[in-house]
Amino acid sequence: MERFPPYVHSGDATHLRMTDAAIALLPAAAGAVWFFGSRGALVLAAALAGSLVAEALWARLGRGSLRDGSAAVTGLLLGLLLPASCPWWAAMLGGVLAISCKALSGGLGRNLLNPAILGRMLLLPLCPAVPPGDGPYLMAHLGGALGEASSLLLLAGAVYLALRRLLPWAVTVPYLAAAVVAGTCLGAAPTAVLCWGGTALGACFLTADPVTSPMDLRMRVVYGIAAGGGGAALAWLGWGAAGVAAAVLVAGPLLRGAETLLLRRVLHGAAAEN
Amino acid sequence: MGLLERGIRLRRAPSAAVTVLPPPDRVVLPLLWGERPLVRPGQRVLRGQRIADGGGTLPLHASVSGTVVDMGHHRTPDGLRRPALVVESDGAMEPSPAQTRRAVLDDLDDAALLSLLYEAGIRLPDGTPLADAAADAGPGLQTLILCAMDGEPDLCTEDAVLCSDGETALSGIRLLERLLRPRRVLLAVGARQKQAAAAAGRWCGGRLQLAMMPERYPYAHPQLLAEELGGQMPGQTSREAGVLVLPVTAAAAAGLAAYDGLPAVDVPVCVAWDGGRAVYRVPAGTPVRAVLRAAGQPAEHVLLGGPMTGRELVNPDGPILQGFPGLTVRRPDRPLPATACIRCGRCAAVCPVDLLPWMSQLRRAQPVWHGCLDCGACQYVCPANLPLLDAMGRRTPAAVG
Repeated sequence: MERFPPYVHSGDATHLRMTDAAIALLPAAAGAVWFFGSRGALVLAAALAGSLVAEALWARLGRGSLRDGSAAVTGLLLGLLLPASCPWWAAMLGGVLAISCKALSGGLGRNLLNPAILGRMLLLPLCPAVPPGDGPYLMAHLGGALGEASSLLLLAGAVYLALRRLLPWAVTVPYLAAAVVAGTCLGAAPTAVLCWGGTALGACFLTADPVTSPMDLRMRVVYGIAAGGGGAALAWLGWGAAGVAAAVLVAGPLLRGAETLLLRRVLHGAAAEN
Repeated sequence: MGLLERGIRLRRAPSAAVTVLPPPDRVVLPLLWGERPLVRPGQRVLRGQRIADGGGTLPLHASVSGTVVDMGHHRTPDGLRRPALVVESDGAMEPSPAQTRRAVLDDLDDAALLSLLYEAGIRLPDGTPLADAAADAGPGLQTLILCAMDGEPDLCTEDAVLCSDGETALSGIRLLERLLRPRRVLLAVGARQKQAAAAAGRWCGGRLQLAMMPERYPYAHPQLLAEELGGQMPGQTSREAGVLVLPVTAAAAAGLAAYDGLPAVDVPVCVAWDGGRAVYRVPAGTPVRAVLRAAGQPAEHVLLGGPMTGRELVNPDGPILQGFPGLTVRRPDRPLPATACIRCGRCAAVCPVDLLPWMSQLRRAQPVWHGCLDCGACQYVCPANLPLLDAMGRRTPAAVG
């Protein structure tokens, strides 16, 4: 078999990145089980199971693969976005819908919308959004989604992502800044905005999905500002974690599309000149 | 963004001293550029004697003394069939008398110096004669850059020649300086090449300066060096920018030609393997196999050049010629699982010429990839293990040796 250079590789791989993303979500998942007990565990397990089973079935049809590990991340993230009051079959349905939408749009890398967030949005009729509440945000916040239970645990996961160089600083920092501004405009205290688990979810996890976020540095900053400001606004308007997720869901493809259009024009313009 | 921020961090291997190998039984000297032979089978030749000429190209010299035994077609290391002169060595390495007639350099003007370099048959790795490159650069050269870095992380030919034959390299640099009269001369040395930096440090002064380069692949690409050190703008040719980039080995060959009267008949070759490397000086036309044997390496899984830009060695009996890219003994890695592009952006982040390799994965019409160096950095970092270079229309590597 003829091979071509380069004959070496850095060792980076999609499934390794997905594994790291899943590991980063584990502290928050453990927290969900700890604080919400068996209900929390059931929702997480159901979301995970729905995602994995759907991925396995779509893989048989050639539109997915369990090997890349993205289904597990989708399942965990979806579970963390759901409240403990969510019925287990709804969580499972959400997982199936999330993976199916990804598969129907062409599989990993071709989806415009983040599957986990899309799954959460589709379940809104069954599990309405819950506002952020009063706290305590750092630990044992039981008034919202599973992932909001402890922002400290989410922070631990974010530190892991940062160590593995998977945290998009160009998005996260502007996100936090914009979230504080938007939150204070709506009457929340700045520290409340920063300490709330939903902000951590949005700043460090939901926007860290490379597929649905832009790559260009300036676009990433705009993305962070849009998702952060929009997310905090929607959250404090009563949508809570679902609001954070909705902002990311909309901002991502908009800015990704803008990036592709802008760069395509620049590249074709340069090529035409040459 | 220049080299300092782009590229990938690949640590350069430590260097090795140059070992001179005894001549092989026979050397194969292909006529790659349309030269016409001046000798016939059965004729005795001496080392340094001109044996092929004409066709508007550099003369070819015998690298050993002995007898011409064949004038047929032979395969190069990458499998190309070419007419070649085969000389059976008598082991004596007897020099041609023409070699001992050295010109007094002070008497030579620019044209004569260029002619000396041309007649010595010194050819740069991309095939250009050194004399032509120097003539093109011409008067008014702003920056002459001598590159002491190999293009690949595991190979260390340039560094070895600089450290082992420092005086020869320096004499060549001085010669080029005198010929080209640039505003400044920079010796580009990698950050880990301590010995080379120390040697160069002793020489610096006047127009010659040391430029320490970060260890970021692609280290030694002439275009990037010209942009980084010589102020060349993207899209500008080196000629327009008044920059000339030459490898140290070319300067050493110029020094040998001018001060020892020796034409380009010896080739430095680096062999790298897992956990070690060696640098040899061999007469041109030595089969690759002889060098591999000296290094104690098998002739299997060998790359011509390095793992980032090399090609597979097709014919181990093929000859080593000027500009030989070196050898890497490396078992092929297990193929990594491939996925669709996940838009992580690493490829664009590492591209030394600011291209966006990820756009090759879009389903619609493609941009034209102007300026791609084929360095492979994008493919190296891609977590989806995509064949980015092929998607961007890989250039054919220049056939060497």
